[in-house]
Amino acid sequence: MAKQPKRRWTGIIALLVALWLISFVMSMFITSDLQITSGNVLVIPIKGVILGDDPGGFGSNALSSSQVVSDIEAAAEDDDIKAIVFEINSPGGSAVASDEIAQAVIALDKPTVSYIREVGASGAYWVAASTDKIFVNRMSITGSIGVIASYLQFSDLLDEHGVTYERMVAGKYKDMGTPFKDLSDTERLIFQQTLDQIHKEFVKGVAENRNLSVEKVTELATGQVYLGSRALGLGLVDEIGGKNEVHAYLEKELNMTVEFFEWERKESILDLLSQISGGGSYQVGRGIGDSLVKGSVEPSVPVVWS
Amino acid sequence: MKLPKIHNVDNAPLFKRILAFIIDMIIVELFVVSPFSRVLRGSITEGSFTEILEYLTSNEMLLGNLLPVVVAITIMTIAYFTLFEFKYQQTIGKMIFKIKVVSLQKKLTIGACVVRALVVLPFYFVTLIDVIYALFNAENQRVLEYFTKTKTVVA
Repeated sequence: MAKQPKRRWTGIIALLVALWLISFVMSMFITSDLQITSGNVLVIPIKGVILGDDPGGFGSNALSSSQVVSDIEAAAEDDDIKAIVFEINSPGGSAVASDEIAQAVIALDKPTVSYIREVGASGAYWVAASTDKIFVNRMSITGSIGVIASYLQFSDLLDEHGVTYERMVAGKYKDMGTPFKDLSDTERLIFQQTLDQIHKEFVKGVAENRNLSVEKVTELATGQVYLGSRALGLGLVDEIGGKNEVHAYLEKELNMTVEFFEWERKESILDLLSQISGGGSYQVGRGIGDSLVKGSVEPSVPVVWS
Repeated sequence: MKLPKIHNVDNAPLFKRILAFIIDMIIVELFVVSPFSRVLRGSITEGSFTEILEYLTSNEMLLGNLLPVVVAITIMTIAYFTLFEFKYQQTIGKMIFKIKVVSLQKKLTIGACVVRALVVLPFYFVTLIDVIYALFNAENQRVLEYFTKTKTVVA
């Protein structure tokens, strides 16, 4: 007789546990872009290599400009956000991706401040230069206003091993930059002109955003890096300081109590799985792509500001 | 010889039904809502009820993000009431207050249990009508109980 109530309670507990488990599993599959919104000054980290899209995967040290631009646009629409601070620790990255972020910052109708931690060089400096005020540590590495495009060229190695590059192109410069043949003088010139043009855009942008003359920025834009204290003297940054100094500056500027906050992106299990598979596929794809002649139909020279 | 079951047809007192519902909602909070706390955490600003309501209604993006969570919690809450009432004729709250659900027809179907549980849908106007109806009819039946030909009685 005592077995009946016992079985009933076992059933009840089993049902409750099942409900909890199903709810738990459902919660894992719900993608949430919910964001922490306590605070009135948004901090957007610019960390790692700036790319258009983060290739993903664990250990990825890349920053997606699409994500940053979307954050800036969301902040623009949120009246509770009074200013944006960019916490920069990046060596730069893709020219286009850096410019996308810089343009979004310039278009923003709210005070913007950046503070550079260890490194804010090249494309990351371009992002910093687009904000209203730049803070640096006296030992931060900044500047590096220059453009680089390089690749490994191993045609001699192929020759040594009796491997020949069968060139088939429609459009005589279609395969310029392929690692399987030497660059011709004309091809080298085309690349150099392209880099010079991007360099000019970079210099022009810094000059405009920093209220410096193009001549002065051109003089500084040798691609060399400057320590924070030196950059201050050259007019590339505005203040020596860190987060506390930025906080004090904004409180004075906005005339209100400032509370920093970051948008926290929580990822569902599906996001994690997609990152793992996406990141893996990207790396595998890149490896295969690089090793195939077919891959050379597109220029293989990455243009980066770093 | 197998004799047919005879239900006690005394209507369950309303205060017992309300208390049982409160207990059930605590159980739902523990076993259904708590797993979603990972998703909900940090989404809602701190403040008074009015401030939170104002914050939620003024932030369309947040509401859009919360929708899947609300839908999932609602489905699981309906599942709690449905499964317990179908299997035991009682939820845990009803067990504590010794009341149960009976069908006025042959037997309690799962469909009837689902419809009865729709009272937890987050459409407060419907919930209000459902409950007010129970206050003003002799059988103390909710509207959804009336449609499913069920009622809550003393166990």
